[in-house]
Amino acid sequence: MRQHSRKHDLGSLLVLLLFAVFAVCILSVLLTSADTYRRLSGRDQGSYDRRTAAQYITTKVRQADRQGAVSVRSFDGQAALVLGEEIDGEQYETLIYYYDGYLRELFTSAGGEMLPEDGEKIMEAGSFLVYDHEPAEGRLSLRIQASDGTWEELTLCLRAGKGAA
Amino acid sequence: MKNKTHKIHIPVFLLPLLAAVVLLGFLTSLSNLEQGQSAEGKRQLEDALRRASVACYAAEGIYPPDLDYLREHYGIQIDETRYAVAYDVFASNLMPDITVLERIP
Repeated sequence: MRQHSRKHDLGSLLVLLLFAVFAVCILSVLLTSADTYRRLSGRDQGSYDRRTAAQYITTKVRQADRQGAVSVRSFDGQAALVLGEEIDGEQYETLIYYYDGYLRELFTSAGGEMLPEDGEKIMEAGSFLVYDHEPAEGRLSLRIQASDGTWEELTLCLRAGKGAA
Repeated sequence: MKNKTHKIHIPVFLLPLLAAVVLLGFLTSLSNLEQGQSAEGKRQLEDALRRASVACYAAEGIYPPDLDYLREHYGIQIDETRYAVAYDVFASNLMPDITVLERIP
């Protein structure tokens, strides 16, 4: 009797193994789902970055779209979009540029000595290129690289027309 | 033909021990997954708030003045029973300070 209780059918062990396999399967399904969700979120983030960056630049340019108010200037060795405005008789500028992994915005008085790191971080980005090769046409071409490495191209026709940029 | 039955000799304590180990492993993995999910939920809420704020700035040129504005115009939903959100605005052209804290049940 005592000797019999020490022996178990192979069936008992198989049931246990089956349970272990079942548990591993459940866990792997959960982990796979989590990984899929993470990848989808990453793709969504890239899409959001491109769309929002383009919308941000468009809104800023439209808000400042007056004669001579939109220009492109070198700031710390790279091209920055400069939006000028007058407040209480004083000239101010908003610079939009890329620095240290972020698209940044710097609001300062015209001619103020500021550093690129002084700008407010707007969103993560890979790069920001702005071209002023067609200023006479009143067009502005921009390229924005999202944090996932994809590019968004943007061409804006300035409402202020020729000579605006 | 002789009917062969497979019998193996296993110490009496081994089977319950194995069952306990498998169960423990399963429960530990589930617990880890749940903990990760909780941390992920907090991070996601913070990300969603920041993204909605930047989307508002990109579309309107100002950051949202308060959380209700984000709820009303940008579809943000906050589970107040799980999270407390501190939202401090300094100026309409500066990113607000957003802090999400998890409530202890």
